[in-house]
Amino acid sequence: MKVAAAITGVASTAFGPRKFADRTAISVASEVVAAALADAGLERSQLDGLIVHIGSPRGADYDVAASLLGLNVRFAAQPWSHGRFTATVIQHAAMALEVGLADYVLCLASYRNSSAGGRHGTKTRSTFHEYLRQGGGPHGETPHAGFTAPLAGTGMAARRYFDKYKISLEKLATLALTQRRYATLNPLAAMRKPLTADEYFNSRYIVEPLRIFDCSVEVDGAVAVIITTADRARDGRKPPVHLLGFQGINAGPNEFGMGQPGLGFNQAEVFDYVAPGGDQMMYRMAGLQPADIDMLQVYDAFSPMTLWAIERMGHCKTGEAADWIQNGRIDQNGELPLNTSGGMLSEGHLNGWPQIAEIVRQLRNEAGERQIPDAKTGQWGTGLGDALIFGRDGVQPGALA
Amino acid sequence: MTLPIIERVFPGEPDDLLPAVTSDNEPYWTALARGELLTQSCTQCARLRFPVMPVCPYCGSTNTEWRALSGEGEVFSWVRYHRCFLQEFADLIPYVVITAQLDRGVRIIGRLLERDVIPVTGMPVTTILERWPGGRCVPVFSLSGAK
Repeated sequence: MKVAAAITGVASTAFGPRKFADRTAISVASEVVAAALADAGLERSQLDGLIVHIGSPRGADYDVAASLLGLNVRFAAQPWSHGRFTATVIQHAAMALEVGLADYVLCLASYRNSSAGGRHGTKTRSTFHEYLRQGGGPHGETPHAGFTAPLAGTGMAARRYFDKYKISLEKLATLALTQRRYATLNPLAAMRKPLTADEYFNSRYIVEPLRIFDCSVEVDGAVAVIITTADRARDGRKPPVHLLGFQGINAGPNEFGMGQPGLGFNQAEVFDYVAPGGDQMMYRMAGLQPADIDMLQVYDAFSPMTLWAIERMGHCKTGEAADWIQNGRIDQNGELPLNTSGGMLSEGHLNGWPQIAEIVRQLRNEAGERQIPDAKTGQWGTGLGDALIFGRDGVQPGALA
Repeated sequence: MTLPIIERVFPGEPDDLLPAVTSDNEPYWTALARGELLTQSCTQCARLRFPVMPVCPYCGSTNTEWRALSGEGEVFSWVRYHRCFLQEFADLIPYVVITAQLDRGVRIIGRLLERDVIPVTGMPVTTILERWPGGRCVPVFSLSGAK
């Protein structure tokens, strides 16, 4: 099985809460699309595919995005306006390229969380109606129990996980502190003030056991990623960043996006989840093993989600991630640098798109002070198992095997 | 198996916090309003399931019957809300929400009436129904009287 797609252009804004509160999603999008085209050395007329992630009211839906940005495309798509589809968007772009639906696909995430109508978990939030769906909210919300806001679902699952594997909650601090250190080296990050362990441990609980620094920062911003075939990408202005392997998002009775399989959220079954190690589709496609990954970016809306993503990506066994991240392993010079732009906790929560941009910058050696030395591969993954593996130019599928 | 019902008083009418009554879940909500906690039992594989769903997730059968639960169970997991997200719960902050593991395997998320406790996994709880303005009841949990 092969994949022959590559990122040829990328651009983003800086990220911050309410940063674009007085702008429109389209206006911000126009800037990053122009910048991504310039980065790729492409003309606007060459874009013939468009996938929008996060539509109205926070962002602009694909139809108005195409018409107001003057894009004439022959392939367009837009998933449900939830963050979990970052990898899915890129996979669909790669598949569209593979079968000739398009030659250059623009993946566009331009939206303002400041326009969501209020905090997650509150009635004025534009997505509150989803909490009342048959089967409950997308993060397990049960409003009549007073159980709203996505972090509550993570908190409920995390309590089981920490109890089951006898993990001290204090170990979570390493994620917030490490990611903040990275963010101080990232001029685009929302949270650049250094964070101390004292500040972390003295911070307030939002939904116990999770503290405010275990929560991501919802930001306004935009990221544009242009994907094309590996052949076309060789003619780009910048070195291609190759998509070496991927795998899709899992769904079903035992999958809960804010937790890990086996923890028994609602009626999900209780069992001993076995992290799959290197025997996964993405590694087989890429001809790589987990140890070949030079940097990992994960969906870290709340810090426990990072532990579950690390385990599901095969970097350690179930229940071991909280110990695994200690002692510098995820630092800039560690064995597996993690969320190197600050992640959702400190760079800002734009559903993973800043982290995709970070992988491209790292693999082009454009990451400035936070550059991971000699990074050849980068991985994006979530606790639902969906993932992407990228390689810098010259690293072809199987090259490291 | 009728469960105790307590009245819940709100400043307003919190109808928008309750899921719509549908052809699938109508027996569940109707039973709650008369003091019974029902769940579905698959007539093919005999497994219980919750929340209400039209197909057995374990065997695929659409044949079900309704079974009443005793409401006895234990704390499976819990969180404590320190921030108010819903005005209807503002006066209760900080409050605890638990996942209760009920008898016969069903797990339900609900508020714990006791606010000043540190729950422990495995602690026994009993189900109480809270009647909301408009007449519908929702399950909440209590440590007192639990077996």
